Amino acid sequence: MKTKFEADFVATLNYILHETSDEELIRMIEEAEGGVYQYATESVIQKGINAMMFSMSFMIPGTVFPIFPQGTFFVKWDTRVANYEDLALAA
Amino acid sequence: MSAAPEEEKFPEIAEYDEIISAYHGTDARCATLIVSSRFTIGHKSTLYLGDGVYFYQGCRDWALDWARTHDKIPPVVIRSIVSMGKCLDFTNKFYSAHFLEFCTKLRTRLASKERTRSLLNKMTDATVINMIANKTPVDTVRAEYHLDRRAFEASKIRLDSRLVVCVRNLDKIRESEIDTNSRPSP
Repeated sequence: MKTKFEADFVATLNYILHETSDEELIRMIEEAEGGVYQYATESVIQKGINAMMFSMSFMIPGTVFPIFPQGTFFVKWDTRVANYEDLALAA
Repeated sequence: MSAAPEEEKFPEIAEYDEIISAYHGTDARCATLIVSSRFTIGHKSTLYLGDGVYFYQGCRDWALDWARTHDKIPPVVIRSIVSMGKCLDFTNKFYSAHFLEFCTKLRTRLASKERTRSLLNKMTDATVINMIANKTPVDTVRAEYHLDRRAFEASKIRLDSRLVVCVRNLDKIRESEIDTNSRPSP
């Protein structure tokens, strides 16, 4: 190894490959995949409201919408505001 | 993932922090908001290098091109000073070689079972980088991006090569300003 970060990097790759259960691996990939709707509830009503909030987020960058108790979604929502306006490169 | 024997003779060296000039394309309204507050991290599985704020290293014109081709009106470039910190650097063979080996083994593992096979379709560069970075802190990710345009057939120079830097840790963006050279003429 050359640096601590390089050592940590390799240790992480080994951990993911060899020390995770299938369930943990599935969860890790789904979390890493991102996507606005994966954390939302399946309620049709909430999906509609989520879409409205998503549109509003373009107008009010940085706004937090703590309306529902599913805090994870809305915290992440706040960090996604600039997705389509500010990214310098989308593959 | 074992280290090469010659590397193990030198178990640790001091980490250094590379400082770069980086350029981000956007529109005038967003540029003003960003400079007056801060960048916001983007999340999307189709992003090139995973979650983060994207820059072109050392070249304003690539950022301006990006803003123009993505209908940013008026197109504006922000120049930032970025400290690379813990950088997952795909221009460094150490990381690209381990990444290749990791992805190959991960795909083999996912394909080996019925319940995980469907996840193969979810594997993108961004997903894998996010998965790694969720387990070990990564401040920045850097990779080359290029198209195949050349000056002539035998040329080995890729004319569209550019270095893309994805900043995951916003504290690594030391300062930002609107690049006045990128402002459109009145």
